[in-house]
Amino acid sequence: MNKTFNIARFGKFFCMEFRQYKKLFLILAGVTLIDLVLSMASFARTYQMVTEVDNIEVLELNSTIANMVHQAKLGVSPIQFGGAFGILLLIVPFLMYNFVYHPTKSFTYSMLPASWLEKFASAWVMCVIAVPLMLFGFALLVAFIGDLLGAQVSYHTLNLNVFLKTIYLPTIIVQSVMFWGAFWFKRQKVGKTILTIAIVVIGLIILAWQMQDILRDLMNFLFGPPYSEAREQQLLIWLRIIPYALMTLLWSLALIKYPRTQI
Amino acid sequence: MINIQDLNFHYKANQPVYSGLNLELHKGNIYGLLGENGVGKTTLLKLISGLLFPTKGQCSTFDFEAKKRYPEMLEKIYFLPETYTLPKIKMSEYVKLYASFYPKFDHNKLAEYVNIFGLSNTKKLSEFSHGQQKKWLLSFGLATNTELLMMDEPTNGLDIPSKGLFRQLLAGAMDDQKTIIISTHQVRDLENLIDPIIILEYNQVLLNHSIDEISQKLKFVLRENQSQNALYTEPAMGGFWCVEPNSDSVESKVNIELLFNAAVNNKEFFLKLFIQK
Repeated sequence: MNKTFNIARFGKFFCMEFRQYKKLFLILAGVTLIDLVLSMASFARTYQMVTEVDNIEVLELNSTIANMVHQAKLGVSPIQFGGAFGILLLIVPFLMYNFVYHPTKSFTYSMLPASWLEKFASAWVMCVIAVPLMLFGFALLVAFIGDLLGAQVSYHTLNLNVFLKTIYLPTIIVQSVMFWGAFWFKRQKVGKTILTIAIVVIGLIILAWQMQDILRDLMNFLFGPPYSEAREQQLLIWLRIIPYALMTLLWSLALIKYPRTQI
Repeated sequence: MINIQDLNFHYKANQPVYSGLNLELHKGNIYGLLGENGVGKTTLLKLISGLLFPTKGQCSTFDFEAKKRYPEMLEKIYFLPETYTLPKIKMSEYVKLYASFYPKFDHNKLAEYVNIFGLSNTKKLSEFSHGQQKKWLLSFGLATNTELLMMDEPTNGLDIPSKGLFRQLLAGAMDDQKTIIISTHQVRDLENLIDPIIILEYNQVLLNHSIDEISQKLKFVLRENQSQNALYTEPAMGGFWCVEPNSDSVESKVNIELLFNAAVNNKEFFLKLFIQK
């Protein structure tokens, strides 16, 4: 096992990669900061408007504007509209690991004395854990500074749990496709990844359309009659499981391909 | 130390680069790897370092299966490729990032090599000229003190004084525990340094012998006229350089360029003389 995975060597490799990408992290931080400041500013403006003209009763209770006004009354939070978070998390694997099979760029990386598993684990931890945590850290920092400057910061929504559920999880599910693409294809990774996603999605739609009668029967058989509570429950469970399963499958596929890296 | 047995390799299924290649390399030598364009010199270096995988057969480096690229094997190898892209960082940062992965890395030696090559830490590596980048990688590679140093066309891009410095540094860094493999077309740059010589031919090894063994079997002489039994002749000032079988045990200095030309023009003869027993 020591040949394949050694925690000290993995730690050393991860630290090396972290230091290597520090400039990229600064760029990520910069983009995130701009996005967060803009989000907070727009929220603060809404809050100001609401306090000036308190006519929320005019709005329908479930409308988007009513929700925004309600949120604004609670206070501003840098992660509520942190769109850049999602986009950044999504493209991180391509930004960092686009070179893995590159004939001239990957020489040093491939020849560094660490096992394929340590290198892969380092990439995974970097994309899936380190960068998101860092971005959340930036959000906290911006909120703290905003609070000091007198902004109405909502600490209620600014907690790790909310971040994990609302931003991290959906993004990381999609990001796993990009991660797989970065570690699977040799050249034209972005193009091939997008093309593969498109083909799979279109294929599934056509397949589902062709087999709609069979699928309907199958669902009735598996989950019970339509509109039943049992069926709703089952569907909810499946909808939770499938993204995790898909994510794990994609990471596993990337892992299987990685030791066969030839340059 | 490096043992290749019955190795097959191809990039495209119907175009084998190697089929049934056998080769054994021992420590304490500076091997010169020669061959025409496309015979697979770089491929061989990549197979030895585990960057490519044999389609059949065995390639073991330090008793490890090369394609597994175990860290224990990788920390004994430094590979200087012919083409590379260096990161946008300074030399000092490069050392901080990568040096700790090589247990025998010698920082003092690196400083010495950098000084000899006249490299400065003011610019980023990506802003260096091709020659300067090569000098940097050579310096770093020698400072790693790895047991196996593989270099693909190391003198390409080096200016004339630097080629001399390179020879000096390499000779100085060599010891009994190390092996250096240099793949090159610039044999004149490395004459008096490489020994033994490996000449690769499509699918086979034409020669894997020391300079001593070669000079016992072949002689390199300057004649006024072309000799009848010469394996290869080349016009020169005052006559013709001839490579001939050394039937009368004459001592002569091996000219690697002539040797190479003689080998590729007399493949069967070389195979009989050196490989087939």
